[in-house]
Amino acid sequence: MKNKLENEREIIEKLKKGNKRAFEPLVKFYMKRAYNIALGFVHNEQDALDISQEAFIRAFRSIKKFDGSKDFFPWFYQIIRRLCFDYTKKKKRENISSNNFFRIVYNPNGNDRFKDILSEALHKLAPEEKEIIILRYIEGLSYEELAETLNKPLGTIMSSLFYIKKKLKKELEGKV
Amino acid sequence: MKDHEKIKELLLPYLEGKLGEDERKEVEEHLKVCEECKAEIKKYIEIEGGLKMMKLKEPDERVWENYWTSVYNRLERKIGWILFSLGAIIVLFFGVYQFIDELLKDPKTPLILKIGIFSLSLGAVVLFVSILREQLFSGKKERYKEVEK
Repeated sequence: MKNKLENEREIIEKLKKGNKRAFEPLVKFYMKRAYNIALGFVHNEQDALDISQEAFIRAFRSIKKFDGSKDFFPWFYQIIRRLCFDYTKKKKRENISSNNFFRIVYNPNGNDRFKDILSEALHKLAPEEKEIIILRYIEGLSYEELAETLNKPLGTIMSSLFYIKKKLKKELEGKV
Repeated sequence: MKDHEKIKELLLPYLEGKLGEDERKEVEEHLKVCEECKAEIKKYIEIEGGLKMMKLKEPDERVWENYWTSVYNRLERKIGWILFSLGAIIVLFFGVYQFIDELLKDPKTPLILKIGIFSLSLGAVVLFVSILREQLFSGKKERYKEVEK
């Protein structure tokens, strides 16, 4: 999977000059990723869509603060994350339950129950764990890209992934 | 040779190909004789397979087709709202200022009303500055704290 737009720096320069139309390729390249990340936090398709669009708007409005020598995505990611935290804080007060949005499309052992239990186990993960799983397995980010995006040391990312898989295994034990 | 529990801890790094040559060989040797670790690694392989084939619920394809247009429209609308709000604030302030100015200059206006208007205006300015400062500075700081968590 391609993780970065080739002419990203050129686009950023145009955005800094206020060219709104130059935003189009960047939005189209990152829209699904932005939506998936938001969905990992907010568990609701429509709200995830709204938040992802709002994140692009905020990114455009504060693009002048962005250091163009760096990659766009880790900076943009912090904007989505902040919006999601604000949203979840608000929803927690409203006490709204969430839907399971994980769908396992492949059945590795011919057992349908495995798919259901694994997606249920994924749904039970903490938001910080879900975001790692989404970035790694849906967005195909490498360990190094994950560390840069989440602003954490590489070792922490690796141990978090190991811990999450252990947790998933524990959830599956005795059920499959 | 590492004991069973230590080898168990190495199973995931082994699957990810993150072990050095010596440790990798040790794990492979252990797997030949340990049924428990064999079952454990099989489970991890299943989980890994499931995760690699995982999808999230996606909206309809038309949503993606209209996504950019929607962002662009919202972007334009937001700029429109900012300009509109700014204009409205200026017009409102000017109107209120003119009204108060006329009332204060009018010799027929009772002193108590003049004091009341002065207090009201001062209070409104203090509240406006306070809210504006909170929106611009304190709000942002709080949100960043949240991100750190």
